[in-house]
Amino acid sequence: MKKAFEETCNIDNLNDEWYQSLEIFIFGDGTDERVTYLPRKLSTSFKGGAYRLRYDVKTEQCTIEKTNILGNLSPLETSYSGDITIGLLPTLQELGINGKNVLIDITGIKHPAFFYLFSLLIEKEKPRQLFVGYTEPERYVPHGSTEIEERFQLFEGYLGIRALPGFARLPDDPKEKLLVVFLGFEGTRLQYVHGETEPGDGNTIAVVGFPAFRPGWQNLTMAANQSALQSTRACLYMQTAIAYSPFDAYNLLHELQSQRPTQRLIMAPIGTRPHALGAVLYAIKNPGSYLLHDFPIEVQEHRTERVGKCHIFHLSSFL
Amino acid sequence: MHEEETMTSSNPFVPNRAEQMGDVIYEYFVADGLEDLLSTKPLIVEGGRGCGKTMFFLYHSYWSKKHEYLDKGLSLKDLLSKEPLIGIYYRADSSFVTAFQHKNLTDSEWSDIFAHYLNLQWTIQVLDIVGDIQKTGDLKLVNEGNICRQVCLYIPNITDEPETIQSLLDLLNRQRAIVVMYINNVGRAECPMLIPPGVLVNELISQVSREPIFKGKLFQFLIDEFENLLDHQQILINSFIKGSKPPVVYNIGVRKKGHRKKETLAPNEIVGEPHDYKRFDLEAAIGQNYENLLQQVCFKRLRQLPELKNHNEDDKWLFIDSYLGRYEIDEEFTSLFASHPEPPFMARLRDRIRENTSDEKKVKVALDRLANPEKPIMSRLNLALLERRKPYSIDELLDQIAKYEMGKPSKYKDWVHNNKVGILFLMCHELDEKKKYYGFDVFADLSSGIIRYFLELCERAFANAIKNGFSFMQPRRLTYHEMDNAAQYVSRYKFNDIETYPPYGPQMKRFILLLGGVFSALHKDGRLSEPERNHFNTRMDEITPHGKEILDAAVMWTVLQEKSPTKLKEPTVPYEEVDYHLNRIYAPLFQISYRQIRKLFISPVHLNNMLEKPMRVGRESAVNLLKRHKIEGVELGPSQLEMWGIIEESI
Repeated sequence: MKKAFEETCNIDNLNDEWYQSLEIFIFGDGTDERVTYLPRKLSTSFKGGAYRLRYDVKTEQCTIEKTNILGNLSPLETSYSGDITIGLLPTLQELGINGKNVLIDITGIKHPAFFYLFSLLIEKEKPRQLFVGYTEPERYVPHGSTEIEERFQLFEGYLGIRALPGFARLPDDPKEKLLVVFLGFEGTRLQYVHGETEPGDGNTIAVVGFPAFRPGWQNLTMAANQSALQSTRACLYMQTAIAYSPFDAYNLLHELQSQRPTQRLIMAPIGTRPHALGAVLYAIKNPGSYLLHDFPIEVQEHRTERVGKCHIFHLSSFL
Repeated sequence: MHEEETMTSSNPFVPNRAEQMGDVIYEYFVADGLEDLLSTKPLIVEGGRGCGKTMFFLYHSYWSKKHEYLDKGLSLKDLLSKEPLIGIYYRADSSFVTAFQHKNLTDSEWSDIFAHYLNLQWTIQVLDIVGDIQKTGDLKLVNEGNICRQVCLYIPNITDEPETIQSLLDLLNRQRAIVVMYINNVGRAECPMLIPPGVLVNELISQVSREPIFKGKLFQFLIDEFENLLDHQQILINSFIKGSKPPVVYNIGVRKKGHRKKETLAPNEIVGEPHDYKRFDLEAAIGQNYENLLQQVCFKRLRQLPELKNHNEDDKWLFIDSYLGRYEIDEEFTSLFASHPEPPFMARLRDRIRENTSDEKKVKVALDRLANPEKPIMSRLNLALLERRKPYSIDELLDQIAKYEMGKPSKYKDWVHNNKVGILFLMCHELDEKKKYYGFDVFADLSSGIIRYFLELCERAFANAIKNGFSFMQPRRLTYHEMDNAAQYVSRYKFNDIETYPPYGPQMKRFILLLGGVFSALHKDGRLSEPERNHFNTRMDEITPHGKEILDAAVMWTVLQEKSPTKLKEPTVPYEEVDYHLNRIYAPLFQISYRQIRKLFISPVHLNNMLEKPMRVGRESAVNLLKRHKIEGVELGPSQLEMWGIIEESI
């Protein structure tokens, strides 16, 4: 797969014609205001079927509910409830996704679920046009400056690195590892992923989202990861990718793998969701690469506040 | 070139993990005390992360041995004639083995599929080795075709029977790919025909063992990171352990508390020690000769530096203790008092003496003898003894000191001996100075039996020194500041790491924060009633199941270390099962002792609160625990975190 051709729009620049052309909309779950932003934005012009995808990382069970986005996003009927690997593809087939114009809002869909969803959409049930929405937060709920309770309750815990549905790959590739970590605000996650993969000195590349969602957030990322960046020596091999752009993340991965063709690329997208999207697209298109996730269990209901920019990515070129 | 790059290019402690050493692992491996562990009996090597399990297994793998022999100018023929075993290393990779669950299949079904995968995986690994040996030219299999045919009897649906090791390998690789395809597509892909557990690999080894070049060899499977396996997978491997018999032996490397299941596939059957395996606690074993082992490990690293390559083997700069030196407590006291010639406690001591004696003449003598500014350690001890719940009298103190100074038997000698380190911690607190952690022996203690921690301390200390112009061309002892800074740095990032240890990282971190805070506060007890408390026990039968799970997870990640009980002055404790030691790597962060001296009894109620209740409740329990020990006014809140440098590190 060559470099990704970038096609990104701000939702406000899209016209009614685009809204009306959409046939299926899948979105996620959560109480953060931004999770419901795109569903509400769509509610006036969208005429297709809207489905909410929930996922439990511990049990790998998912629920897909047909949802009324004109009202209060209440579920109309359950399309599927069960193991994601077993039921997601047949459900997509039942929805008739093949050949339709589809929009997936990844803002509230849990990582393993949207990773698997994209693998199915790109490899099995191809829509005619595939769009992805992502709504930035305006701010993260502070959890580190004053109260230790808040800081330590950001995550209930981590299940740790485990197989991602649909992405199990043989681990004994003898090639030298190249670990690319897309950084977020939790510095210890870099340390953990590095400790578990042990890529060897000089083989860890840390990617900071820059330009960030908000001016200065790249500094927060750096500060939060400072200790881990030093101890893993990833601070010597830093890269940047536009925080909201899956294409930039994808192209960076493409470039890094081209620079080190003999190494096995291991991606740990623990930063922004658009970066995670770029990584999963790369993993789908490059089966020799590995996608890692540390499965955090979020405990705080409100992790972010208010709504920032809402991006729409056009991914049809990946189909 | 980047400054850091220049710096670390000559830091011999940078590659500190077995996996990162690649083919030259033998150059770093120290066999001391680990000889002959692999035998016809399965071995369970137990120990925390970084204590050397992987190093031990990788060193004994065929591929490492091969490199060692070839690099020494020997041949594979030599290897096969000298080595009694062929090591096959297998790492239970958590990103893969955990795929064998859910998806509407039962654990029993998944166990069969995993067994099938292991059949293929391990057969491929053995064939890789056999094929590699064949490639040398002078070592040939006599019955290659027959081996392939016999193995293929167990592989279903073969149309083209392979006749060579390479073609058999190709076939098995395809079969293995089918398994991976299946686990990613359960419900859509067809389940492959499954080979019963162990059958394929056992058949291969049975065939290969008849070959003259492999005669008498033990095929040792070295299964690392066993704790990553799902329960049904552990049960499967237990069955292999139970069924081990020459020429096939199954060994596992596992973290403490990581061998969760003891059952086998057979009903009502378990694996146990010593009947089925021997257990080897790597942390405990290396503890007996730990300093010597560390010297050897570091020697191997230092020896590889171009600057030191040609030095004589007994050259002092090939020994890590020449760089780190040994810790001398008097040196630290001297440095402490140099900047505080009249410590503030002296005034309080004089007041206590006056309060306790009405006789003016005796006051003068007592002031001279007990509050001597030239003997600040004894003076601080005297203050503590006078302020105890049951204080000593001035007369008794004067009497004991007199005997002590005349070299006669005296309690005072014991008091000094038992409290000197405690006084140092107390003085550091009272003089608002940080306790320093430096010296080879201190680094060894801080590393808590985990070699990797020691190497990380060294890496950072040398990085600091190199920044200050250190070079192995002109070696020198590192400064205490370079070492102490490394200890503080490593301590802090190890603490921050706790949060990511699955599955209870945040709870463990919170608990360690409270526990470290309690120990830290106890080190500031002005009465020195029981100095240097850094481990604890409790009544385990009253700990909740969830609290026990968190404790077990902390042991598995070596955040805590379980040890046999030390003495406790707690008459209320009916029995003691085990002591929990806070890993000493956290001692610099919390400014506490790294010595194993005294423990603290924590009531189950307080411990449960600290382990599993919200931070506010846990903190209240920690504060109440301290109040019980007459330590008041401890906050254990944000300002304490700030003091430890934690807040700005974690956002």
